[in-house]
Amino acid sequence: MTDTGKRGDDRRSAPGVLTRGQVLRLGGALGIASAAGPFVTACGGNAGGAVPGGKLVIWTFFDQVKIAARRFMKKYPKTQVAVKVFPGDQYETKMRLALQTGKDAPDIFDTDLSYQGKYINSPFAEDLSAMGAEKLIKDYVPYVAGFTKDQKGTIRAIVDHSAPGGFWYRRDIAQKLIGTGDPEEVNGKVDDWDKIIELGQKVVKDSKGKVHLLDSYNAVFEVEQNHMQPWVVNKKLNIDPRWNQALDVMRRIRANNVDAKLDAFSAAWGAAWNNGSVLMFAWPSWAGFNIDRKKTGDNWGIARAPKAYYDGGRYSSIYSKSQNKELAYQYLKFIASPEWQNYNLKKTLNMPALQSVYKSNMDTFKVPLLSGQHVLKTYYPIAMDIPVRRSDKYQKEIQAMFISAVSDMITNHQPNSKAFAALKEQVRTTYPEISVK
Amino acid sequence: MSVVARFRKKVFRSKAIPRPSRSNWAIHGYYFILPFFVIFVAFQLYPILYSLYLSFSNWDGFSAPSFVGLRNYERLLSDHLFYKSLLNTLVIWVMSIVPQLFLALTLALILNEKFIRGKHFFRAVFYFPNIVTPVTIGVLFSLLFDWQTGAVNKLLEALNIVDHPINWLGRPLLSQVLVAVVMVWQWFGYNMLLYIAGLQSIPSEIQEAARVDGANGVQVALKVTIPLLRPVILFTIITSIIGGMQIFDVPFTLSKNGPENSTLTVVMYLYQTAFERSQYSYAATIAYATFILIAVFSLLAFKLARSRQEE
Repeated sequence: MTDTGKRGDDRRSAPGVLTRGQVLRLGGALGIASAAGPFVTACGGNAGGAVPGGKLVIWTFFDQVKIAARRFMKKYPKTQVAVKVFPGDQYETKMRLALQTGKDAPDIFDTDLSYQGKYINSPFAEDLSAMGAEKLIKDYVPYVAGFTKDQKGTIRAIVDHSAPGGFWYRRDIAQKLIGTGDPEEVNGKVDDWDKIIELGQKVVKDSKGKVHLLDSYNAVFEVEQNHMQPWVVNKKLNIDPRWNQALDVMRRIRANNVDAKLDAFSAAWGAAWNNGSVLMFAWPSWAGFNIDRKKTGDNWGIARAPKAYYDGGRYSSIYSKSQNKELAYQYLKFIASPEWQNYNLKKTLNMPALQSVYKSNMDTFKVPLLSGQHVLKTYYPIAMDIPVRRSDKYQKEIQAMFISAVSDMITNHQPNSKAFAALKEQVRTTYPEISVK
Repeated sequence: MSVVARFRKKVFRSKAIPRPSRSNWAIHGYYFILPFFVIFVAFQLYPILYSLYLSFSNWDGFSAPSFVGLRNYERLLSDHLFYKSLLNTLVIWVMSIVPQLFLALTLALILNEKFIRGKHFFRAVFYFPNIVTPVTIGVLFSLLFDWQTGAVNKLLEALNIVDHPINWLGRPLLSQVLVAVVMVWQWFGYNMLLYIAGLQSIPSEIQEAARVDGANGVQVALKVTIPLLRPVILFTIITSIIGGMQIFDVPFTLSKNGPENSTLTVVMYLYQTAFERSQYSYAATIAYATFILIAVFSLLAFKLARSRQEE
C-alpha cells in the first residue's frame, strides 16, 4: 500500500495542486488502504508473533480438545474458541456434510486416522505448507510427521500426539505366571512371536486355562500391518508376501490356545482388562481408559512388542473455505508447540508428537498406573522405529476388509489363500478403479 | 344448518366484508394444503429426484458430481456383493417372516378367545419387544450369544448339551438364523396386535353360525376366521416385504457383516457404500435397485393374494 501511495505522488504534474482525477485516485487508494488495513495489520502482527483476536470454531469427536482450547484462550485472551464435540460414529458424516455445503462449517476439523486419508487428500483441507507448517513438524516423530502430509507431500494436518503401541500387562499376574513383572525382563520374553506362542502355552497351562496370554490373535495384525507394503500401489492391489508368515503366526496363536478369543470392544473384552483373565493386550499408549484402577491397582507395565507399531491418531486440518485461517493456523501452531505438548502429556497422558518433548521428559516422567515405569523411555524408541507412511483413501478401508477376511479364515480353519481370495474379491467389487490380479 | 355454514352466513351478512367468490375459496383451500406440499417437495420429492440424478453420476462427496450415464447400473449388474447382500436379505427375511407371522396369527387366535384369562396382560407383554430400540436389542443379543462369555453358551455347557461354546456369530448360517430369531422376537407382537384388531372386526355371528352347523374350533379358525382375515394378512405380508428388504439395524448392531458377509443386507451395503466408502452415486444406484425390487415383490404379493381372493 505504501508503494502505491508513492507512485501516486510521483505522477503529480503540479505540486500542491490536485486535479479532479488525482483526487479520485487518492480517494480510491485511501479507501483500499482502509479496507485492507486490518488484514495487513493481522499478517504483520503474525509475523511478529501476535495472534489476531476473533472466534474460532473447532469440530471434533474427542472431548479433550476442550482442554487445548482453554489453554489457547488463556494464552491469547482476545481469542474465543468454540469446540463442538460429536462423539460416536456419526461425527464423520456430520462433518462431511458441513464441509460439503460450507454452511455453519468449522474453521478446524479433526479426523481420525482411520478415515483421515480421504480428507487430507481432498480440497477441504487447507495447504499448511504454504503457511509455514514445515517448521512446526520439523522435530516431530517421523511416522507422525508422515501422516500430516497428503500424497504429494503437502502438509494439510497437524497433530499434537503420537500413539506408539506395546503390550500392556498386569505386573502381579505376570510375576505369578511368567516369573517377572519388570518391563525390561518382560521385553525379552515377548520380542518374538515364537517366544510369545511358547509363553502363551505356559500361561494357559500354569493358570489351568483361566488366563490367556493375549486377548486375540489380532495382536499380530496390529503389530505387523505397519511393516507391510501399502495395499494399493499405482492403482493396483498390492498384497505383501510377508502377510503369509503373519497369517501363519495368527493361526498358531489360535491353535495353541494362546489367545482368549475376545473381540475388541466387546463387553467380555472390556471386562478382561480388569478381571485378570488376559495377561497382555497389544494396545497403543492411549489404552489406559480401559483400566479400572480400583480393580487392578496401579500395577501395570508396558513391554515392547516384537516390532514397533502405532494405532490411532487425531489430526486437525483447517477448512479451506474458512474465513478465519490466520487464527486457525495460530491454534495449530499452539498445539504443535512444546509448551502445549508438555502440558498435554502431564494432563492427559497422551504421548507427544515432538521428539524434544519425549527427550526432555524421558528420565523424569512417571505414570502412577504403570508403577513408576519411565514410559517415555519405552515409547520413544518404538515411536522412532515406526515406518513412515502417508495416508491414502484405500489403506484403512482395505485393511478393515482384510481383518474381516482373516477372521473368517481363522475361525473356519481355512488356508491363507482363502483370505487373500476373499480380499481380492471384495476389493474388486468395492473399488472397480483398482486393478486386482 | 352446520356450525360452519351458520358462521359463514353470519360473517358475510356484514357489508364490510365482501363475500369471496367460489374461485377465491378454492385458492384459500390451497393455502391450507400448501405447507404439506412444500415439506413434501423439499424433504421427499427433491431427495428422491436428486438420488436418481446421483445414480447416473460419479460423486465421492469431495468434488462436484460428474455425469457417467449408466455406468453405475452396469457395475451393479456385475456386483457379486450386491447379489450376496440381496440373497442374505431374502434368506433372513424368509427365516424371520414365516415363523413370525405364524406365531403372531396363532397367538392372536388364542388371545382372541373369550375364555382366556389375562389376555390384555399377555398382549402387552408380547408387544414389549417392539418398543425396545433395535440397537438395544442387537447389543442385548450379542451379549447373550457371545462366543466366550455369553449366557446362552454358559447355560448350554452347564446343562452338558455342548462340550465347547458355540461360535454363534462365527458361522454364516448360524449368524443368519440368529438375526432372524431376533427379528421374530422383535416383531411378532406387533403383527399379533394387527391380527387381533382384524379378528375383532369379524362379526361373531358368522363364527357362531359355523359352530351351530357343527364346525369345531380348528375348523372355524381355518375355514371361517382366517379367510375373513385375509386383508389383514395381506397387509402384514406387504409391510413385511417392505420392512424385510430394509433390514439394517439388527444385523448392523448384532453381527455387522457377519462371517463371509453372511449378514450383510442390501441396506447395510448401501449404508457402507455411501457413508463408509463415500461412493454416494453408487449407493444411490443401490437404493434405486432396492426400490424397484421392493415394488416388484409387493406387486407380486398383492397380485397373488388378489387372485386367491377372486378364486
